[in-house]
Amino acid sequence: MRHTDLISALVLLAGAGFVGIEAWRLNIWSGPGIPGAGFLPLLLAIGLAVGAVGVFLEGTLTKWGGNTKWFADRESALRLAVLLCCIAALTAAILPLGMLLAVGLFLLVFLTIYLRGRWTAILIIAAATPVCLHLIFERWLKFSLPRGFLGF
Amino acid sequence: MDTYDMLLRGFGVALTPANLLFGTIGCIFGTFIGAMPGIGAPTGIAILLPLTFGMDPTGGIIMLAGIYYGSMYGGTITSVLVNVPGESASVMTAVEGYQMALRGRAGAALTVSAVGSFVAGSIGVVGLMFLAAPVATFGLKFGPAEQFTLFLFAFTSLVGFASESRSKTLVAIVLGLLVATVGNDPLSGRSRFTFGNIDLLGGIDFVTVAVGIFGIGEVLLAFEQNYRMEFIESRLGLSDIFPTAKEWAASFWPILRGTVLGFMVGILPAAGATVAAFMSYGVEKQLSREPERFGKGAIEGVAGPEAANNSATAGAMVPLLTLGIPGSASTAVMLGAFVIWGLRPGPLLFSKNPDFVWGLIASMYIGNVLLLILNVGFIPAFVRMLRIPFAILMALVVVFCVMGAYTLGGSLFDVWVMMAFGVLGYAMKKLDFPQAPLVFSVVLGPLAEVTFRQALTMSQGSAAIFVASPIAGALVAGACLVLAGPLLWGRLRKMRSVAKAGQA
Repeated sequence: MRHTDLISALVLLAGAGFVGIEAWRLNIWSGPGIPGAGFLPLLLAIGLAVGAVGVFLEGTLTKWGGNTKWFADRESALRLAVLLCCIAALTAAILPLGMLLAVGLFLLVFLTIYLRGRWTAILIIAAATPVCLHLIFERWLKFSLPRGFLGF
Repeated sequence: MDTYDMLLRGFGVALTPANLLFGTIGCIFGTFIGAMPGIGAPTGIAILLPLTFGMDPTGGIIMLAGIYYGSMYGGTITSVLVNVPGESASVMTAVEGYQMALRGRAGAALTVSAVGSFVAGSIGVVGLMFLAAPVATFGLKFGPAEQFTLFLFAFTSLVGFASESRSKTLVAIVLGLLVATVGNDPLSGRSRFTFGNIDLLGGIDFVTVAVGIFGIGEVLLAFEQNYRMEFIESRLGLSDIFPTAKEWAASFWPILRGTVLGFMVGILPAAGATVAAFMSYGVEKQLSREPERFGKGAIEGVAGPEAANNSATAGAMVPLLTLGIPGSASTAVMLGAFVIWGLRPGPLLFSKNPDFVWGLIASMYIGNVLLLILNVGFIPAFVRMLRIPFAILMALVVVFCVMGAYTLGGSLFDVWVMMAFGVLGYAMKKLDFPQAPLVFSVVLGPLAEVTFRQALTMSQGSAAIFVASPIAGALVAGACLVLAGPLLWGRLRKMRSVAKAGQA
């Protein structure tokens, strides 16, 4: 028995129920013999339910000898959390700081954590990447990137 | 104009300095991407896709195609030297190639695979050239019912040929189709699954899905698992890379068999280069007089699968260009790019945009020559590039993903959506749900729904329209066969083995 499959199947089944209700609300038929906006979602809800039952059965019937832990160790969970926080911070900083400065800061912080001590490489990458992005997106592709309070 | 005239016209387009440059960039980037574990061709194409928005579509598709087949060449480098396949299509190469490298024959393995890839890629493009135009002409006969049954065949092929769980593949397809229904209904105008958010009214763009799932999702997984590459010490000078006469002779037929097999498998929707490489390896092992050598460094096990995965890329272009059906995850992302450039792949593409199609085909010939030179002469340079710390590469992939999602519509909302799909892609990998079918159905979903509903409206709600014409009927029968075939085949084999055991 594989617990992750059983949990996934239950979540998917709940999702299928939600999609089915939403499909009903959207109208299955918009006229005699004319499928409405909810027609495909209804079929998809049924498909999702069938798939969920399949996943549930597989999870129940298959002998699972693999690793049941989501993370191999505490360090891998920490690495993932740091990366996700850095990406979220980069996205949140785009409007106030501007795209280029946000990218430069993201690289500076992220590489400082993972390339400890290699300051020359960190500084070159953190400075050169925004310059390259400016040349590619703003100069070559003529795309205007968001500018922050510093004006770039 | 016949095929040769069109090809000459295509070379005229592909050999312009700008297109030649884009092709070269695509090949180099593709080789690098293919060699990096955790970043496959779909990821490379997805993260570089936004760069092509401001380009001429022909230059854009030449660059993306270069990444696609370049990655097949590149996947070999780490398979042989690190025993870590950069691409899933290179898994079988790692089995034999790494054993050869341990015996000091890394150079020979890399050269045979590069030459095999070149031969297969070139023959595959010839196949594409001669098959594409007739298939496109045939495609002109397709109405909404035939088009929908073709999509149905593609979706059922994904389930039928699934190397992972069939139920999980079905779930991934349904989730992709659900994502495609978000936004205003194309026929009635009613908003679906928008939850009052005006940013969702226009739907979720496939680029945000592809970049999130293939880009951020893969980065999250690679970072969590802390990929490291330790290269074995190999001499890769010019004098070390030439295979012996015996090795060439042993590779000749596997390359040709792999080429034919790979092209045929590549044409099937959803089968792709990985299935082709696995099948080729199996064929070579079965045909070998010394099957016990396999797993210990048999050069046939490198030559066949490498040829197969390269000709499969050319094969996958046939349904993409002629019918608008992607044959793999990479071509699914390319299909989405076509829509963004305002082109509709399918039968009319050949008559309406001949420069685009034939420029692409001609560029594939040129790209194969470039890749042969790169992969025979510049392997040490690629190995040096691959020694760049993983954290730097991952950080740059993240930056490109964020830039890609933002430049799509100039909206931060797309970046958040891309991140959400990144987390979903990571979770799918951890839970063993295949990612490619989800992206595949996000791309095909809108057109599949429109043709489905158009056909049903034409028949006043009767599903009989999907079996009324010979083409639609044959496609529905094909769909049933790919779904039921593997199950029946499995049962049959089980019964046979039980019968044999009984006889014994």
